[in-house]
Amino acid sequence: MLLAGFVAPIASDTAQNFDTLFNFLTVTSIILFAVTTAFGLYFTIKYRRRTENDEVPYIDGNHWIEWGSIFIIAVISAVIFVWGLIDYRYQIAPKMDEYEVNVIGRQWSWTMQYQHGASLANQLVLPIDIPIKLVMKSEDVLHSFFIPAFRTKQDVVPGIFTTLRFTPNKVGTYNLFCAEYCGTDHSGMMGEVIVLSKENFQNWKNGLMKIPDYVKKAGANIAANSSDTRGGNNTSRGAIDPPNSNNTSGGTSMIPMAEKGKALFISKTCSTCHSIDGSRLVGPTFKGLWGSMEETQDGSKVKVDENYFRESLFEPMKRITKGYPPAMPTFKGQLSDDEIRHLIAYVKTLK
Amino acid sequence: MSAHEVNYLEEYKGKSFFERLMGWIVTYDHKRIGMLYLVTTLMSFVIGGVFALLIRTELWTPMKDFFDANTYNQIFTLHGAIMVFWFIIPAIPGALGNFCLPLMIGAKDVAFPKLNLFSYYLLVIGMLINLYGVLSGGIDTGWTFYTPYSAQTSTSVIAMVSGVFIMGFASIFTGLNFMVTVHQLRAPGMTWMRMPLFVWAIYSTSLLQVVATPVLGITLALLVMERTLGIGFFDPALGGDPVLFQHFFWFYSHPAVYIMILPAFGIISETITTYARKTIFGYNAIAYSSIGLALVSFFVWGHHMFTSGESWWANALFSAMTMFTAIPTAIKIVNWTATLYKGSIVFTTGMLYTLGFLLTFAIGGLTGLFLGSISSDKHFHDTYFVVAHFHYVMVGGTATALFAGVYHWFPKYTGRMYNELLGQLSFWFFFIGFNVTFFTQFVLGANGMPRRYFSYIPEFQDLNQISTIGAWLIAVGVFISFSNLIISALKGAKAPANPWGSKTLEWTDTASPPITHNFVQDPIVNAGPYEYGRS
Repeated sequence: MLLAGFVAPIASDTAQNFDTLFNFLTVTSIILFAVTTAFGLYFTIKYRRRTENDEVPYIDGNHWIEWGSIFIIAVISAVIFVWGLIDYRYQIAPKMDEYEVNVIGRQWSWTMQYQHGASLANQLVLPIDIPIKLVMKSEDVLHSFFIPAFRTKQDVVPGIFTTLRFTPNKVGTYNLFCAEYCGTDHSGMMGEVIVLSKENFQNWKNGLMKIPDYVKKAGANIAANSSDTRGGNNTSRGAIDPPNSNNTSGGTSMIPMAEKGKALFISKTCSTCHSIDGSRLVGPTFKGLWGSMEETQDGSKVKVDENYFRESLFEPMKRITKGYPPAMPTFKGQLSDDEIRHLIAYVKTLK
Repeated sequence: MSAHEVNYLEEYKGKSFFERLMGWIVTYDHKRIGMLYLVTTLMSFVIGGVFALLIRTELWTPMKDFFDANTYNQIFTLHGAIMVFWFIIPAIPGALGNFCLPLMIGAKDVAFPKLNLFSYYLLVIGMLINLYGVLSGGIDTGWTFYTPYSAQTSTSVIAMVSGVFIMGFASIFTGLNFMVTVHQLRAPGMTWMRMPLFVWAIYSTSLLQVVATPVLGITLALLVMERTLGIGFFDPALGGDPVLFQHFFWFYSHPAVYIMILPAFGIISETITTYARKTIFGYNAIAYSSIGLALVSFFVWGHHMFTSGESWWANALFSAMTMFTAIPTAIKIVNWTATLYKGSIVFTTGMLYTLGFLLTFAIGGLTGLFLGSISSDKHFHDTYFVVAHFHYVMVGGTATALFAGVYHWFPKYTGRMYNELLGQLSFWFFFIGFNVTFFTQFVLGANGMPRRYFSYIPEFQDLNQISTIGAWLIAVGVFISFSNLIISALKGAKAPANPWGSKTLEWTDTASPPITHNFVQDPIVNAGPYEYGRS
């Protein structure tokens, strides 16, 4: 309410939740500030020095005032803490039928990889009203994926996968910023989030529709603006096609990530030790593996997610599933981040 | 007249230039060392302020106005690093703490005068090493030195962090010195509960300096090892964890926020009682809440990292602890406001800065609630909202209190009065300029402008221009203020021993400026520090 319509529209469930809390925080702060200031102002005017020998009383405290203000501020902070925690728990909780997109951050551009094989530079095309899960990783330094219209962000870190969840609920084009300082062109690491209706999104995905014209224009504006400002080394926006990314349409001839993963699964000889039909070979089967809780040899539990999968490839001896021999070789230096994402996409299909 | 009764500024009067110079640069007198710190840190403030003006001026438009992105990144890094490590951390303990603390507890000096001088020179050496870093490639990491960027950039990271490392030791030794001084050198009758609240505040600060600063030293040493020896503490390619650096860094730097603000609380307790001629409301509450804040500050560092990928329960824990800090902070504001009740309030420059502090610090504290709550921080983190918040605390809080303190103790430092009219004028420029600059940035941040941005989307231009105008108003205020202080120090009217009618020992028991050995007769204390309204 207090922010809507200025620069950052409210365009997701997370943004709606944020704005409710933000309004509460703002109103509460204004009241607290007004009350203390009113007292302070009243005292300074009323008790201003009139003569050098003003009589002053000796008042060294009052337990009611001390404990009363402790009580009030404790209650208010507790409410804010719990409210923020509930919203945050909702934000990070996995939703039903999430649509997953991989995000790669590098100095100084974003790449969005779709499961069906499309890859976009600095543009994230999303359907409306479908819960989105971004799985993000950096290739170099820290970045942070920030969409003000969704009122949320998540750092993009080298070496681990981080996730960001939200459900866009308004069609439109929104700013995407890098919020974690990442060097020379940090402020040029901008992009767009384009939320389409469900049909349009399907059409885009199937290569029947290009990203609408109004979006291209906005993209061109930012690109023109940023080359004015910084000259030269800015990254290209959606309107300007980089040679190896299909930027204007979802495309039909692309190879889905899971298929690339399947090819790797065979060529890297994973299939020698891991079955896909539930049978036991040297290592655990991949069927139904994704998202399950595995017990490791020291008895602790670990959820099979992007980070555990990556760790098992690079440091296989760190957490071995209970009951299996330590036979897995390390793939450190042999698999690129892209290949790992493809393998993950494949393993996810083995339900 | 015996040498003991000469005031500390005139100790070498009539001696050769060389002797007078040595009297300053190798002095063990806490008052002279305090003066050295005061001049050094206020000069740092001016240098850091020039960088701030460069930042704000470049941001007048989203285009490249004066310099390119790389230069901009170096400038905001230097602004942050200089303001934090050269100014805010050493300023109040170094300048006012050194000068006032022994006087306030009735001591002749600090416990270890030579260590005190050594600490000052460590600060200077650290600064010189930083200066070498600036000349040999600069630094563009931001004052937080986050890895992996700081491990990869080609700028002079090692010279900068080595300087900070050495300045860290200046901070540790100062803290140690003050703690021992407070424990050992209080005048007869000066019980803990009769100590002025400024002494309590410096004591709490010292505790933090001694306990937290070594962690920064170790962290920066690890970073240097990573850069020079290629040991992968933080680089994921070498098996390190880039987020680990943030944990280490904030484990120091969050307590450091209280190293910066606690002494300011101490100043406010002194000025508000003096200028309202009222005893402090809730002495115990203020004293204990300083210690409480110092302790809690060790368990909140994770709130700088809500978006870093920490586990949810770590975020929850840090958010809860952060909310806890609201309580001691609120207690202080309530107590200071209540102190004004039925007082006899005079609006000197020192008091104006004090009242300005109450307003801006309240806003800084309240906006902390917005950032302490995890879900709203997911939006505000790394935006101008955060920039505005910590400037409200660090400038609206600490720097404003420092100026209140400088004007308050100026007659004691120099033996001369400052120009009241110019002082008040400087306040209004500073106060209005400050709010114009930084309140605007709350709005910018809430609308999503990220920090450390050389360029921005055109929609943000109007607010950025308002903010830039505010920055120049602050500059005018500071210029008036410093001109006033310099001219008055040389030509001001002679100050009486106790121009404000204060009740603490540095005003009641010694002249302005104090004699070299502080007191003609060793003070004996038989009452509290703020006995206004009691005959």
